[in-house]
Amino acid sequence: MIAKRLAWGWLVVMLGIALLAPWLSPNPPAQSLFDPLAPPGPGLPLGADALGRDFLARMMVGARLSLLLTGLAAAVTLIVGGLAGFSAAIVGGRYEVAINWLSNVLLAIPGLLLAMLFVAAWGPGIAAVILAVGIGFAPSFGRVTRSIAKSLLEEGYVMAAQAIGGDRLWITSRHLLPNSLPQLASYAGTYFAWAFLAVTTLTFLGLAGDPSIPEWGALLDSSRSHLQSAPRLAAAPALAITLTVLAVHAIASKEPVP
Amino acid sequence: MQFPKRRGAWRLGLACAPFLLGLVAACASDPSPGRELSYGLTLAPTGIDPHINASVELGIPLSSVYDTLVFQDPDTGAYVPGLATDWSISADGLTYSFVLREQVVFHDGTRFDADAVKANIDYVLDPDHRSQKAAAMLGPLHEVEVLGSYEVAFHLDRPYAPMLDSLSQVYLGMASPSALETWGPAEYQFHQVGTGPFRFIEYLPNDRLVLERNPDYAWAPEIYRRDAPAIDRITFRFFEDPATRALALEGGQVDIIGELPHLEADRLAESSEFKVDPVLIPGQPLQLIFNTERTPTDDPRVRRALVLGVDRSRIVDTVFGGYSAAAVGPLSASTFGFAADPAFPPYDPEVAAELLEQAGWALSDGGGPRRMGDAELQLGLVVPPWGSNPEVGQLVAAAWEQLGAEVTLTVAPGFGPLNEARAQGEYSAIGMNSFGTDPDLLRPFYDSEGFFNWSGFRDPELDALLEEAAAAFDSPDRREALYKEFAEQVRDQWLILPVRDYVNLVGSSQRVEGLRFSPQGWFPYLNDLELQP
Repeated sequence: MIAKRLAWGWLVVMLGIALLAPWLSPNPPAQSLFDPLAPPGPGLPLGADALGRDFLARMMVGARLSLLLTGLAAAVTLIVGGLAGFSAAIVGGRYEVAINWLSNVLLAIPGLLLAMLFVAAWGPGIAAVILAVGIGFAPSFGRVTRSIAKSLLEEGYVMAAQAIGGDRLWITSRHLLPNSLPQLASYAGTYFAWAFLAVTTLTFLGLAGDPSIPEWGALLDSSRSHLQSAPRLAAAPALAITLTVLAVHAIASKEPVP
Repeated sequence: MQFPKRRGAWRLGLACAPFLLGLVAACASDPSPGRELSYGLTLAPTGIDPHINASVELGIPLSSVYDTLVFQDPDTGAYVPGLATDWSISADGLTYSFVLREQVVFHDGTRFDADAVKANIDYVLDPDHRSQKAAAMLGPLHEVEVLGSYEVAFHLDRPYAPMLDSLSQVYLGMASPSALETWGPAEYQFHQVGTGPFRFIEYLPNDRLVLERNPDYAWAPEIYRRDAPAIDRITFRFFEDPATRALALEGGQVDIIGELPHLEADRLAESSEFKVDPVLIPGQPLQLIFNTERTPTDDPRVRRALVLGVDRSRIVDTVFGGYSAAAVGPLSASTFGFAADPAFPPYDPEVAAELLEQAGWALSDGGGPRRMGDAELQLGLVVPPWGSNPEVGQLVAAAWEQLGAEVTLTVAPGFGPLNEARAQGEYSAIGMNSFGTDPDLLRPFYDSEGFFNWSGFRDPELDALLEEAAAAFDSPDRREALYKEFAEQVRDQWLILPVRDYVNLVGSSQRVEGLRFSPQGWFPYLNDLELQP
C-alpha cells in the first residue's frame, strides 16, 4: 500500500510539473545561457547541458512531452486495439478470423521493431513516434479485449439479452463495455507503462527527428556523450523514466484502479 | 572479441623488442618489424573509390595508397614533384605537360607510365562511372595526350587555375590501369592498387580497412620526412558516434582518431598519455544555406535578420570550445582567396528585429510567432548529422525563435535524406559545405547550375565572376581580388549563415610520432608515422 501511495505521489508530482512546466521553470529550456556542462549551483539545480541550457528546465518540459506523447500513443492503442478486439468478439465469423490472423502476424514482430518499421516508413517525427508506439501495441491489447469480451458473451445475462432480441450495438454498450471496463482499465495502465518505455526508447534512438526536443529519452541520448564528465545529465532522465514506469506498474498491477 | 588477444600477443612481442631491435639494428637499417597501428575513422562512407566517390573520409587511408602527379607542400603551398618529376604550363594556360618518374611500379607489379596516366583520367571522365568529385576537379580538361613513354600533356578547353591543386589530391591519385580494368567501377573500391607507401589489403564496409607497408616504396616526394613507412600495418575502424571516440582512444582500441568532441579533447589534452592536434580544414565553413526561392527567406531583409539574430561566436564557443574560430564568409580563414574584410557582421538582435519589422513580420500581441497578415513566420531548418551540425542547428533554431520565428529543426540522417529534403524544397535553410584547398570549390554551390546550388540563387554576374576567377591561372593576386569581390556579393545577398571554420581535433596516443597532415587538413601523411615502444 505504501508503494502504491508513493507511486501515486510521484505521478501526481510529475503531472503537476508537466502541466505547470512553463511557469515553474526558472530558465527558458531552449536558450543557451550558461557554460557548457556548467555544474549545479544556485538557480541551476541540475547544471547545464553540453549546449549550456538549463537541464532542470529541459527535464520539466520533458515531463510534459513524455507524458503527452505516451498519453496519445496509449490512446491510439486503446482505440485501435479496443475497437478491433470488441468488434472481433461480437461480429465473429470470418471477420474474427481475419482480425486474429492480422494480430498474430503483427505480434510475431517484436513491438519495438514494429515501431521502428513504422518510423522508417513515415520518416522520423513526433507524430510517427506516437503512431508507431500506439499501433505497435494495438494487436496485443486487441487480443486482451477480445478475450474479455468473449468471456462476457458467455455470461448468462448477456445470453439473456440476446434471447430477448437485443441487437449487437445495444448489448455492447449496455453489457460488454461497462462490465469489461475494470479489467481493461487495469490493462490500460500496464499498456501506458509499456508505451512510456517505448516512446522514450524511440526518442532515445533519435527517431523524434528534431534533437532539440527535450523528451526524456532524447535527453538521455544526448547526455550519453558526457557520461564521464557529467553523469548527472544521464542519471536524471534515466531515473525519471524508471520511476515513472515503476509507478504506473505499481498502480496498474493486481487490483483494478478505482 | 579477437582484439585483446592480438594486442596481448603484440605486447609479448614488445617485451622482446629490445632483443629484436638489437638484432635488426645489427643487420639492417630497416625499421623494427611488426609495428601495427590502429586509426579511428569517424564516418563510414558509402563508397571509397576516390576516383568515383566524394567522401573526405576515404582520403584518410587512401592518400597513402596512391601517389599523385604533384604534391602540395603543407608549409609553403608550393607544388612539388610526385609521380611527375617536372611540368610546364603553356602561356595560354591550355596545356599542362608532365615528365613522369621512371622505375615506379604499382603494388600489383604494373609499371607506371604515360599510358597509366591516360587510363586513370579516362576512367575518371567516363560518364558511365559517374564520378562525384574527381571528374569535376578536372574542370575543362578534354584530353590527355601521351607524348612518349614517360611524357603526357593535359589539354584544356579553357584556362583552369585549380589544375595542379586537383592533381595533387587523392581523388586523382594514380591507380594501376590493369586493376581498374580487371575490377571495373563497381568492384574496384575493394581492390585498390596504387603506387603509394601503403598497399590496400582489405576493406569490409562499416567494419575495417587494412593497409600494409609497400616494401618497394622508393619514390617518396620531398614533403614526406621519411623515405619509406615505419609502420607495417594500419587498421582503420569506424567510430561514427562521437561519444565513442575518446573512449576508443583511451581504451587502446585506436592510436589515432579524428573529430573528437571538444570537451573530450580538453580532457585528453590534460592527460600525459594522449595529445590533441587541432588541424585547420580549408574550404567552406560549417554553414547554413538560405533558400532564396521560398518565403520568408526569399526576402534578403529576412535573411540578413536571420544572420544578425544569431550569436555565432557564442555558438562556436559553446559547441566547439576554444578550438574553432567563428566563420565570417563563404571561405574559411585558412583557404586561399579568403578575405577578412567583407565579413558577415556580428550578433545584433536589435537590428535583426527591426529588419523583420521592415520586411512586414510584426510581433503578434498574444505572444506566438511574428505574423504578416495571416501568415506566421515559420522557418524550416534541415541539417546533416555529421560535424556537430545538429548541435549548431539547435542553437541557431533557438536564436531564431528568440527573434519571433517558429522553427522546425530536422536532422537528416545522411547525405541521401539531406539531398531528398533539398529536392522537396521545403526548407528555409539547409546545412552543407565542402572542403578543399582551391576556392573553385565554391562554384558548385553558387553557380546558377551548380549541383550544390541549394540557395536557388541565380545571377549571371556571379557565375561570370566565378568563371573568371577559375580561369585566372597565371595571377594568384587577380584570383584573390575576384574571390574577395565574390565574398562581398554573397554577404550583400545574405545567401548563407557562416558559422564555424572547421578544425579537426585529432587525438593520438603519445606513442605516435610524426603525425602531419596534407594541406587539405583531413589527410595524414601515414608514411611519416612512427610508433614509440
